[in-house]
Amino acid sequence: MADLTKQRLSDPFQAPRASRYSAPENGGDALPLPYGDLTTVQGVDRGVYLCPRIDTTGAGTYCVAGFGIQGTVSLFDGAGLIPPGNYTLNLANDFQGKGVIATAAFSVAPDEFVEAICKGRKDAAGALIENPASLAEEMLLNLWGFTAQEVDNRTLSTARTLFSALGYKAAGVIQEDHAPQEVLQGLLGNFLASFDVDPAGRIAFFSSGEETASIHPVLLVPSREIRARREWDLASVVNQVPVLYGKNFSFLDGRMKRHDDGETAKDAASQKLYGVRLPSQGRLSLEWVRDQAVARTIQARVVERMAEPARVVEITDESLRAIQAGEGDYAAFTVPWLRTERLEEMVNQIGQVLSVTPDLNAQRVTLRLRDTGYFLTTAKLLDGSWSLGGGALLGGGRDRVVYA
Amino acid sequence: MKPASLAFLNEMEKHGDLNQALVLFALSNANGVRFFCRRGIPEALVGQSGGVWFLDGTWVLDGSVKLGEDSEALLGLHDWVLDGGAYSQGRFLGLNPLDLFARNELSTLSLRLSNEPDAEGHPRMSRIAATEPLVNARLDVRAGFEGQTLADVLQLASFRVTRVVERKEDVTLECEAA
Repeated sequence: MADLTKQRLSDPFQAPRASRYSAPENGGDALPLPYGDLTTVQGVDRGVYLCPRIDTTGAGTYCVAGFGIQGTVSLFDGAGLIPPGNYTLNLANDFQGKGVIATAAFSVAPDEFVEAICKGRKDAAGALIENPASLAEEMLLNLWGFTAQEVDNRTLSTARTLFSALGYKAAGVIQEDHAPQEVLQGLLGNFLASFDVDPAGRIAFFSSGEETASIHPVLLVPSREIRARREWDLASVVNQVPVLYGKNFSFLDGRMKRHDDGETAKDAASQKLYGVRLPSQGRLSLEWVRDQAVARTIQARVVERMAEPARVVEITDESLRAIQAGEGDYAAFTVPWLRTERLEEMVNQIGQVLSVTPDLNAQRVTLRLRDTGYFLTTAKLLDGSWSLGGGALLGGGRDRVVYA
Repeated sequence: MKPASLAFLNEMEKHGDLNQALVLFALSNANGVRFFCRRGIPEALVGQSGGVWFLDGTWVLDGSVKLGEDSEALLGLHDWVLDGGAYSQGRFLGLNPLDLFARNELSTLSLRLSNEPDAEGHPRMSRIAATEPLVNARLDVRAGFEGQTLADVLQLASFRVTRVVERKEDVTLECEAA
């Protein structure tokens, strides 16, 4: 099941082309598929994406969106904003019986090209789809043809709630052939999330760095036969994140229109300790972000997570039990000689699996774990056997029992 | 050449190439400075410097500066060096550290320190690594002679700690030239 879903995610999606219509200007032009609010960043007298001429009859008919949309649309040509009187919009037009699209039929021929700004696809309730999780769901179900059973609703719902709380809004235009996984990675990656296919073949969503809720380790790393080491690396520190956002999707432009140097969201204390540390590529390029507040939230989340060097624990397990762990899983481990920042022995510490490297010849598995700083905790049963003398925590204390 | 360096060279001449120099690794981070050596370090070879900020209302505590910045708290003198990388005996091109000093070029350094348990049972470097920011700390390599003073200590090279690898037996500070 999982392999089949992965295969479909990597199969190229063929963007709808103008050739489906009887008299296009260029049959190879792809129809634009706009999502989210594309009105927030625009150039001077320019649109955000290019509209193909799908009918050359008269002054021409242009495709504004490859599906039906609602709301205000502005069109631009080589001379700037086109007077609305020069064209007739039909935002839900079953053009030539080939399916519903949004069109602009011109009475006066535009100058050179037509670009548009608009708000993209809406949901059944008429609300603009701009939550990145909802957008991913929309594309999975209604663009790429996955079924609702192939989407893990629990992780989707969790991601949607988180994105909503963070105020995330995504917007972008698809106008070329692509593999669904590439678009999903780009979309979710912009918002520090990712996806994976579970063994049942469902597409599950993950948002990195959210460990404020409960963590459920899937593995207790055997502690008797392990060799361990811990690393801190300066290269893992990021305390300022310059970003580019507000992409113009027109083939005539293609540039990112907004830049934020990350000064607002930087961590001054971390910079004092480790110097100014930027992402390895210098700046992040957020193609699906058009809103400054969203860009700054993303900057702040990256800095919050990476302002200190990652504590990476590498464990070599010769029992092979750790082979069941997967990337991103949480695992509890015990390395008694390691110390926490409170000088506690590292017993039942929880790490997130960064990599699993099995060596079946040597019969061992090497796990690399990011120390979350959290640990398995105990709770005391109030059965009359405890004296509340202030000597222990009722709950939340470190579980010091070594289980394996 | 500075008078201190001249004095040092004179001292080297007096002692000959008999490896009498102590190689000192001074690790400075936000908490203070620690000195590491293969042998016990005479306090006379360790200096402190810096300033104290008076809280007289002229400083804005907005996170951009640290109180006591540039002051240097001495955190410890430790004879925990297991392997000083290129500065270890036997890895010199010649017999004394000044060969390296003369060549003046080392782009990287790996300093391996013992992680044996301390008096309280904590692995001593693990304890430090858990509570002090070692990454990006400055590591100065200095050379001096027993019986001499701070004025005769010679600065050989400076590095920045880029990676810390902690094992049960030892902790390695991987450094790049500052």
